[in-house]
Amino acid sequence: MSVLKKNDIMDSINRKSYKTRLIITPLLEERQIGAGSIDIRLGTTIIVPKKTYVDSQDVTVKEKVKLIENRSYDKVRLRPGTKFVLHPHQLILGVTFEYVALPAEIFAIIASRSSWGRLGLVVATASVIQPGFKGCITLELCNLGESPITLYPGLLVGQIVLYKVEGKGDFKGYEGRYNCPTEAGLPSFLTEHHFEDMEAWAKILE
Amino acid sequence: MNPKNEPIHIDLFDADNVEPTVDMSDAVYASCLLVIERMRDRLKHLDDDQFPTEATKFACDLLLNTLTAIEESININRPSPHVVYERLVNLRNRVLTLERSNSTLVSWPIACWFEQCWKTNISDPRIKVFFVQCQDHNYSILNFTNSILQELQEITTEDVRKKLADNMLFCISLASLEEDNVPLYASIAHEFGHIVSQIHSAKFDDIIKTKLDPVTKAINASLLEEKTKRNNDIGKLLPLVFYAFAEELISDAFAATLMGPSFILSMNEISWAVESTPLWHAWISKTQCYSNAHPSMSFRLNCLESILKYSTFREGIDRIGQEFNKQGKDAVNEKEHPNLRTESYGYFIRHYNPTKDKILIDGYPLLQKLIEANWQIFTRAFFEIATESFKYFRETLSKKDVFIPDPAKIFDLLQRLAHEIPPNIIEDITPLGQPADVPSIILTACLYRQKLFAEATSGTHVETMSELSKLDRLTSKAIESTFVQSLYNEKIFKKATL
Repeated sequence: MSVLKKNDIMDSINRKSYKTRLIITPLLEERQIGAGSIDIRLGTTIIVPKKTYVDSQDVTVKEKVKLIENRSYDKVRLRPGTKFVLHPHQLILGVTFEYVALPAEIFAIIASRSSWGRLGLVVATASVIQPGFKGCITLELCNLGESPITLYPGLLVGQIVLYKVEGKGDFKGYEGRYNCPTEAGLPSFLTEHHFEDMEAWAKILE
Repeated sequence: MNPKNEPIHIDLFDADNVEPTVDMSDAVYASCLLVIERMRDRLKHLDDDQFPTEATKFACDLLLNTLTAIEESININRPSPHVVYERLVNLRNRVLTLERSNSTLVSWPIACWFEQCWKTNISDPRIKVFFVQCQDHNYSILNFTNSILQELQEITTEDVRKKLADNMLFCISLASLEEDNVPLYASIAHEFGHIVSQIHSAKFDDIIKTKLDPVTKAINASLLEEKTKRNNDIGKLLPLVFYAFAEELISDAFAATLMGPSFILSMNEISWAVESTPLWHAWISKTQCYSNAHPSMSFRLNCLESILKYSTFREGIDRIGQEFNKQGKDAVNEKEHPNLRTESYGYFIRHYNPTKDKILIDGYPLLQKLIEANWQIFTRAFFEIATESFKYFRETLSKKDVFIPDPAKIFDLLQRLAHEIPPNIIEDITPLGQPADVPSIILTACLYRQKLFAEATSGTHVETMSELSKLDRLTSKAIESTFVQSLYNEKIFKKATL
């Protein structure tokens, strides 16, 4: 795999065919496209985990998974200009403002921008984006610093580094669990394959 | 002890024995003050940041000022406590309304866009609109200020009411079932139309009078044959009913000007729930000074198809689609080009049959009979009112607000949707592109929705549902993106020119 440079990124963005084109939309400024990455902005929906009513987040118990999803989160929609204060050691789920569509030969990693990182803001822990993925990317935002951080929709909080996937073989398209999301998404443990795996582990541990 | 387990009767309010010696006024006043306090608390807990537009804040302030006015009135004027209590209970519904003006329930980008249109077309800054979600499968508009002022009659002074009426606030309710069905939001424009038609009433009074003159004459002639007092009343009611029917069609014409063909498709879908038989329905208030009336949905759709030349538009998109396929704009077009056949785009619009339309005027069978006797000239007159109104709006509204769809642009946006990309950008030579306008995005989504409907079969309901849900998400994202991008470009442009 090799990192896409600015020229490669521009080539991918300018391709005519939607199948091979790299889509990152909307880009508000051309300078978001850097030497080896694309800066991304914070979107408008935020999911705030509550001090939960459930006893623990045990994802091997089907009923509990539903309870976690239903009772543990508040959803907030921010208009431009409104703010959200992220307190020290707080975790929230945000989303990129940009909608991303990766072609089959591009794989991406999302990372914090260094200035924010120095304030203690981590933007993504599950940072891998599979080839063929389409949607806005859920960000796991965490303030590891000691002071609150004020977040606004539209802030440039992260960056996407793109890699060219090499090797032969047919690509069937993205087969993940998230189908064109446009808002911050909750964890999706109930997907069949994933859940079966969890259940198997629960049985082994018994 | 009740060893036999017999039922015990305790009569606390034996009317024969209890003398009404206690004056309850102060007790009721105290309860009223508690209700006020609780309502005030709920209003103060509303989060400004969650309002879809800033106008909700004005509605909130209006209610808070109203509560203060009632509180002062209780202390100074001592109006009937029971009336005050009843009014407060009514006002509680308004608090509930405000609690549903929340960006979790109402899409703020669409509300902001409609608010901009409102500001362009209603020049008085004191007239404002805010958005809430309601529990009906319909859209409606309410004069929020008036509805509050009505509750203050008899319990506050004229001066207080005048002060509160300084800002005229309207409340647009969005159908709860459509909270995520963004393509149907074109219908919001119809509600705006009611206000705009009142603002331009001088012009529309002329149109209505001229077009309905033959019908009025014909009905009055029939009434003259049988002169009774009741008939005289019916003659007076004619304009009331006619204007109410006409206002709906004028509002449709306004929505068609603002939103174009997406308004037809949106209305068509709303009609699934509200109309099984095509019915013109009018209701006249007891005081005979107000009438609520709706022409049949199929008639309205037929008018819209005709004035918007919907079939010509469809043909335009079809032609571009065919051309596109022929030229092979995409290198791998044949393989990846999704089925964008456009011949289905009008398929779901109910075919209009004027002979199937019925009319019902509640409580006035004679008036109903007379209209039925003149059915042909009656419907023709209303068709002409719709056509004239549309022409008038096209000529008088600012160019920015008259939506004339460009089939080539719409086709490009359809392409994006078909590839699971939000239809937010009109591509140009820059990597950023130009933000698409909201009516084009909504129209694209409506057309794509028709394509999904056309492909649905009994075995594919779940897939279609999933595709519809995805369409809503992508459309919603496109509207948000285009709104933010336009706002951003405007700010950058302002900064650059300073």
